[in-house]
Amino acid sequence: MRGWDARALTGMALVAVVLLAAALGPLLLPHGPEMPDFTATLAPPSLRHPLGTDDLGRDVLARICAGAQVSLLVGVGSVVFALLLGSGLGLVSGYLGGWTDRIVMRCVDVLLAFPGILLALGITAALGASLLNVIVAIAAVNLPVFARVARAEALALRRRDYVTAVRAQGFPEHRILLGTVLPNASPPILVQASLLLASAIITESVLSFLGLGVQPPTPTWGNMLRNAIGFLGIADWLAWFPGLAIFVTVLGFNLLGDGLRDRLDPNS
Amino acid sequence: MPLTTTRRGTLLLAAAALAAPAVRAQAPRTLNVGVVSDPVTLDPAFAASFFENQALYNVHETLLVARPDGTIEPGLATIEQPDPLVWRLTLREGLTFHDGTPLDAAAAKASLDRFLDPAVGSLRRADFGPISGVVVTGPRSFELRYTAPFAPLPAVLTNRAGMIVSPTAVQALGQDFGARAIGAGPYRIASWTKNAELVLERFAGFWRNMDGAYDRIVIRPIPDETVRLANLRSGTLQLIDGVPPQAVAALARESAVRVSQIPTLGFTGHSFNCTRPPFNDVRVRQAFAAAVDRNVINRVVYFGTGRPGVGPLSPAVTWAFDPTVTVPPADPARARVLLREAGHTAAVPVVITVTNSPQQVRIAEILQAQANGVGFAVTIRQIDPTSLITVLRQRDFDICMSPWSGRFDPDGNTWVYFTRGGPNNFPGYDSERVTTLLNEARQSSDRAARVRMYHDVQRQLIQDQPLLFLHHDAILQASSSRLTWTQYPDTVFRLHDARMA
Amino acid sequence: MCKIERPGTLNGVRSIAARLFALLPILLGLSFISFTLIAIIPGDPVTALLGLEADPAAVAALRAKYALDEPFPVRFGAWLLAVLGGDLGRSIQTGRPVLAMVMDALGPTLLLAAAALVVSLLIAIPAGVVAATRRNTPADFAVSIGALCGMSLPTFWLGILLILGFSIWLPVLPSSGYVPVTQDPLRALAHLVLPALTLGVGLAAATMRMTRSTMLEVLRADYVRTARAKGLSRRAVIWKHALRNALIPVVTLVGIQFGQLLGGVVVTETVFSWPGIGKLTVDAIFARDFPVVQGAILVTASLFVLINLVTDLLYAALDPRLRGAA
Repeated sequence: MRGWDARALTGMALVAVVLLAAALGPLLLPHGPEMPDFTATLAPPSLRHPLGTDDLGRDVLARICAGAQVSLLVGVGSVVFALLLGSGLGLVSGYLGGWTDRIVMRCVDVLLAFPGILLALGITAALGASLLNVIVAIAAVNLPVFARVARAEALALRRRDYVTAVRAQGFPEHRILLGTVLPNASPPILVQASLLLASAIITESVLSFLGLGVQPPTPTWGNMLRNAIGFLGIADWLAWFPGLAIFVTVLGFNLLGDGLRDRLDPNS
Repeated sequence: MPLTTTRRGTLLLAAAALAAPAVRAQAPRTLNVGVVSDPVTLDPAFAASFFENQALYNVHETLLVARPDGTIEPGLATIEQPDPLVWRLTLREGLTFHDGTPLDAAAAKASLDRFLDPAVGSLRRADFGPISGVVVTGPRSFELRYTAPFAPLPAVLTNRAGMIVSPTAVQALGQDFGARAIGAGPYRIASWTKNAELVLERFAGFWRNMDGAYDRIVIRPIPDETVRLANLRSGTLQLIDGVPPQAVAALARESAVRVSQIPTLGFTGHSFNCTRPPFNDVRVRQAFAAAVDRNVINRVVYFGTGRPGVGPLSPAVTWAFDPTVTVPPADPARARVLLREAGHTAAVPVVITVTNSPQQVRIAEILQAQANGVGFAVTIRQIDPTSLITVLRQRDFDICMSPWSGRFDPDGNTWVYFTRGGPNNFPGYDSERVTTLLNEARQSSDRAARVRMYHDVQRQLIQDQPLLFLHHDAILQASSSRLTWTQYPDTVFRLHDARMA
Repeated sequence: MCKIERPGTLNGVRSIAARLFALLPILLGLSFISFTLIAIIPGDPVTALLGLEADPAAVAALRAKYALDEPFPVRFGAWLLAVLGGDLGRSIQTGRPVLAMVMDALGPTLLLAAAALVVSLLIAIPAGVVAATRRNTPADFAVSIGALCGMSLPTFWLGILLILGFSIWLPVLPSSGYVPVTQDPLRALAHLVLPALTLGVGLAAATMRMTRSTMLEVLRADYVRTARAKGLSRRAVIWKHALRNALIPVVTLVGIQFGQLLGGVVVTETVFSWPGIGKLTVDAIFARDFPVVQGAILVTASLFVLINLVTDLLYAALDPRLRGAA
């Protein structure tokens, strides 16, 4: 692990914890995340239920782990989606230049001018609240960012000597794009990806909190917080743990992103 | 002559006595009320939201008023029925609207005609039943003439349909009437900052004696129930609507606030779609109902407030309530037997449609757990509130939530839902017997006979289960413990008699 | 990175005009997207408005009044024409002119945004200065971690925790609502504290890092060494020269953030029932109140792009000074 500083390592550790919770939690924990127990509703943390139970007697720890699955799926899914489509668009647009570039960038500007959370809200409301639609909505919000970054890189690289040299050798444009421009444009795109992953997780939780994300009874950290508000002052643990989960996960990805940036792109 | 101590004391006392009324007359006494949502319109012709009533009933006055126990008394007018097809109303003397226009029979007729005019498209039109017209018979008297007897009319006139608005203001304000409504209620609109506060000030011309009443009422919309409650506790508000049931126990231990509970006139329930499988078979409906443990719902969702219910007649409508009907315990064995009889061997897929309110989702999740235990496979579909009515009208559901806020007359809680072709007959229920009984009951003026008919209807509904009745909620409202006010089973705040001790 | 041009000449004025002109297609595209989205969303504003007890004839009448059954291009075209004439239409829910509703909501939002900015600057600038001047010490480390934590904190969770802490456990501050400053300044301030803190903390985190990095750059600059050589004390150098020059990019960052705040207030306003433009938009989306959503998004986005433009120009105008000083 040479070259990674303490921050990045902490980030990796946090992310690993979350991944483990998501993968193993539902398998190993005794209580299912969707198993109600009407005799043990709103129970504070105890040995039996380390994080307490919610208003229907469901184990909070199990629900947090199940929520981790949703958050990671949405985060990774939306960012991968946005990265592939956005960077592709940006790279091609920046590389080709001219009218293509101008039109594409206009469209990107329009999307960027739209307040992010409202765009995500609008898309989820329009398509219906479900896991896939949340991924699509958040991808749509992040797509322009990748397009911009990729385009900037493509513009800069277009004129570099080694690209001109390769072109002079007669390679077709698409080979140049894939073989030369793309690898060199990758670092800033990847850094952006890790940072946007963190914000994607927050956006998903906001959507769930407003009632438009993945629907109950499937637990997500956002809809757990939505439910928790009605019990502030009665069952505060319901508000603490999902929020902590979001915080820890996002912090992990932010630290990781910072570490990546320092390593891959020390100039920025 | 120097002032002796006694004289000085007397002078001081006199000065204090003179100053006192001046001090008392200084700041207007304001009652701060927290409600669930901002009214959309204060025009009774178009008020549709349940939550607008909190403002409406203080700005407008109804022709008749209902006491909390349901007895109907004169409001703006007295009522008599000289003939089965005629109701005669006589207005009090000297009534005016907030803008000074005299409230006479002509004004009342104009107001009622506005409700009845199809071109206006008022939501109150259907409330009047088979009315043929309104006729002025004197400066303060007018008659509502009918084509068929309509027993619920007095109760209807205690609702929004009985609110009389100023015809001059309607003319003058046009489209803006909804925001600056002029009525004849105890308070007039002083200012309205949308989504922030509605300020009402006392109207001296109200027909009741308003000595000691609040000078100003400020109504603040606060959709979040936790936030509303926090504002009550901190003293920012003195009266709030919609206390969450989970907070009741804690509030009971606090001396500065007081929770008031009263049974609602309505019911909480879910419609079965009786027009298509699986619930077109009465046995499947009965099976589902048998699986439900209403006591769990009462405990987990309502925290012991209110009571489980099996029919549309709430204990709040005291004369129509049937105390002989009991809430059966859950009977999963019977449910399984019924499903087998209906020919279902595999799990029956069912979709419960609810809005995304946390309380409704909780109920749905309990129903899911209980029904899945007897041979159903329940999924929950959440829609947003603006889609609910469309889903219900188009019968795009297997089971869908259909709560009802309730009316003082049992006709208002049954006829629209369970008659063939009733406007709220979302279940698609078609029973000759129930339709006949309900039509007869609304025409009869014999109370004992009406009670018998409504009890029969309820027993039939329990048998046929077109609607899964679950609960008669308690209306939970809270106030500063020094505030005296009257709670009504239709949840409405009528604040002319609110006083701070 | 934006291209740096020099305004102040005829060239500059023309470029500003050109930039303003370029905003129009963006706003058009934006309106088109929001109109399309709303049109697809299931749910009907009229039946929502009239409720479960609505007369079908009344529903039909209201739908006709708002032309809800016309084909999409006709509705969009009609709306566009009205907007060009300055009319944003009327709300389906309240019947009030949309422009009035949006203007009413803008005040509280701008107040909240300004307060959040003040909070964030009060936290971020001293923190950034400390971190930069005590580079690689525990203080610097603490600031870095603090900034990262601030950026990772979901705004709505922070809001919930603040409500829990200051309105429920220690009932000292109101947890919701808005009082106009003109009405009662003290209570207005009390209502402002929690939402401004909630929004400001996240902003502070980003601002902290920017302050730190620009301060670092500036401290290394030649003119600073010159000043030190001249014998000025360390403190004088920091506060008189370095900070002033470091503030320039910070100010532009603030400008950028102000624009982003307009979108970011959505969650905070919802949690605290703050009657601003974010809450207006969200509530209108949930109520399917198309004219309000359109109008609110148009105004918000216009402000956002305008502020971006101003920030760009500010940056360009101030840049020569920076270059000249180094």
